[in-house]
Order: sequence, then structure tokens, then C-alpha cells
Amino acid sequence: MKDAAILELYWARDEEAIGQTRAAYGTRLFGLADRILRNREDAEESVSDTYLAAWNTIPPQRPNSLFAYLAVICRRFALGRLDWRDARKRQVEIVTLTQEMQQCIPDRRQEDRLEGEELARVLNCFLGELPRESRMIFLRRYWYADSIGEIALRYGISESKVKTRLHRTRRKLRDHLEKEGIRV
Amino acid sequence: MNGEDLIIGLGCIDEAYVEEAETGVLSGPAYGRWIALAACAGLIVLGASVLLREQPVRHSGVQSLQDVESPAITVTESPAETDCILSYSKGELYWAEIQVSGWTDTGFTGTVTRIDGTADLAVGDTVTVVLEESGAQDTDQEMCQNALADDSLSRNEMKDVEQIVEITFYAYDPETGTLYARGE
Repeated sequence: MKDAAILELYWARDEEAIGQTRAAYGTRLFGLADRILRNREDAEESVSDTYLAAWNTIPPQRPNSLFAYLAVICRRFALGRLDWRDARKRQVEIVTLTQEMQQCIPDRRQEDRLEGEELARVLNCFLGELPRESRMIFLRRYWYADSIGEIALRYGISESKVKTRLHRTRRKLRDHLEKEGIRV
Repeated sequence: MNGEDLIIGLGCIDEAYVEEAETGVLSGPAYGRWIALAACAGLIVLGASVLLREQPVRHSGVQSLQDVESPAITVTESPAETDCILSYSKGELYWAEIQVSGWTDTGFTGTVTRIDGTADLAVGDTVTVVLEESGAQDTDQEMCQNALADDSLSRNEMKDVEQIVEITFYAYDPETGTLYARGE
């Protein structure tokens, strides 16, 4: 079923909307949550919470892309469910991602903390300036938590090229954050 | 702010980017040619960024670069020199900025002005960069040359603007100060 039809079910308060959402996007949402959590049970609960959140927010929301809307919610639930200390012990991939992102921060002082809408504005601005290819690779890595190999396979490029693009993009992000007033 | 903040903060980006990374595909040669043209158009005009690969290893008497583990590079021809420092990638890349001082038939000469990470080069070193004319992979440099050919631009025009070409270093001959490189 297409997004428009599923959204109509939500707007009609037809519970079939959940089933159709699961059929259309359940696997991908679970994959996203599982890559972050590396825990099947927690991932399944994150996806279930996502369906409930979708049910509670559509309407009034009418997202342009249902998958993106759901994925944003699912990622948020998964990260909220993540026990960072335990993840470090288990050496979950998401910990590696945070370490890589740490390299992008020119200054770790608390007073330079960017939060909420301001951080979103900075990141959207940064992403908007990136070439499309770099942006997609960057987001597959740091948004979807894909491995280097998965990104290479998805886009049909070498792992080395993925690494190179990520390296350059992280460097650009560091420059961008610095330009935004985060001092070195 | 730390790496976790950035990973979490990415959850607030525009959903259009999330959708793009999920459904988008990397474009083929036409896209590459556009990128190459952009690279050749003199967007940056001070020098050349040369990516230097991590963990440089000295190999004596290497007859062919095919002897060297280098997942990023498929080499179709060996350089004439046989005593080079060769590098291969196993993680992050290092890079250097080279101020172009003149163009040659095969590349350019220049001076290292900035360097990031450890490498066999130092700031102030004079180098000759040899750009590969052919290669099996679709590198920016190769695309750049294709674009030059396709659009009837000459190498001389390329020289005139002294633009940056971002290229990957794969071999360095310390005797002659020659870098062998191709676009990434």
C-alpha cells in the first residue's frame, strides 16, 4: 500500500494503518533500531513505540514521507533506549560513531554546547551545503548507523571511497561548527 | 557538546535528507563529469590537496604497485621508478596541501604548505606530483581528464587557473621528491 493510502487510514482512525505500516516499513525500522541497539528485544520495542507514536500524531501530522517520519521517531526511541555505558562495554557500533563524530567538535567546553533547534539549524545548514553524494554517505553512517561495508554495497562504491568521503565530510563538519562560533 | 550530542542532534535534521539517504542512488558518469568539471573550474586556486594514506610502508625494488595491498586503488600500469615509499589505506587518511609552483607535462611541482597527521612529507618539502593519465577506477582526476576532453578544454587552460585538484597519493619517491597520485 502506498504512503497516501496508509495515511488515509491513520486519518480515518482505522487501526489497519498500523498493520499496513508494519508491512511497508517494519523491516527497515527494525533494522535501524537494531543497528543502534544491537539488542533484538529493545529494537522490537522501539519499533512498537514508533507505531504508537505515529498513531498518536497522525493526525494532525501528514508527513510528506511516511518512512522518514517513522524513521526519525524510531531512531529517537532507539537512542533513548540505549544504555550508553552498556553499549561501550559491548562495543556496539553506535559507540564508534560517537567517537568519530567527536573528532568533528573543535571545542568541548560546556558553554559552547548547542542544543535542540540551534543544533538542528547548524546541522541542516551544513547538510545543505554538502554535495548530495557526500550527504547521503554521511547520513547512512551517522544517521542510519550503517557499517562502511553496507554503505559501499548500497551505493555500489568501494569501501575506501566511503571512508574517504566520510573523512572529508567530518573535516568539513568540524570547520562548519567552528565557523558557527565554536572556538578552538 | 560531544559526539553523542551530535549523533542525537542529527535526529532533528530535515526529513527530506533522511528520505534522500534511504531512497537515493548515486548518479553515474554524468554526475561524475559534473563533479569533475567543478573540480576543474578553479573553485579553489591556491594549491593541491593531496590525500596521504595512513601507515606508509617502505618497499624496495617493487616492480608493480599491484604487489601492494591497496584496496582503494586498482593499478593498471607500474611507475618507472622502483624504489618508492608506498602507502595503503587501513583507516583514516592523512592529507597535505601543496602550493603549486608550476605545471609539468605529467602534473605539477610544488611545496608542501600544510600537513595533517604523520606522513613522509613535511611542511616546506618540494615535491613533484605526477598525475596518472589512466586508471581503472573512476577517480575525480580521471573524470576531470574525461571532462576536459569532452568539453574541449585543454590542459593548458587547466594550468592557467592553477586550480586545486584533490588527489590521492599512492607512492612517493624520496630520491626525486616525486609523488604519484590520482584523483579520489
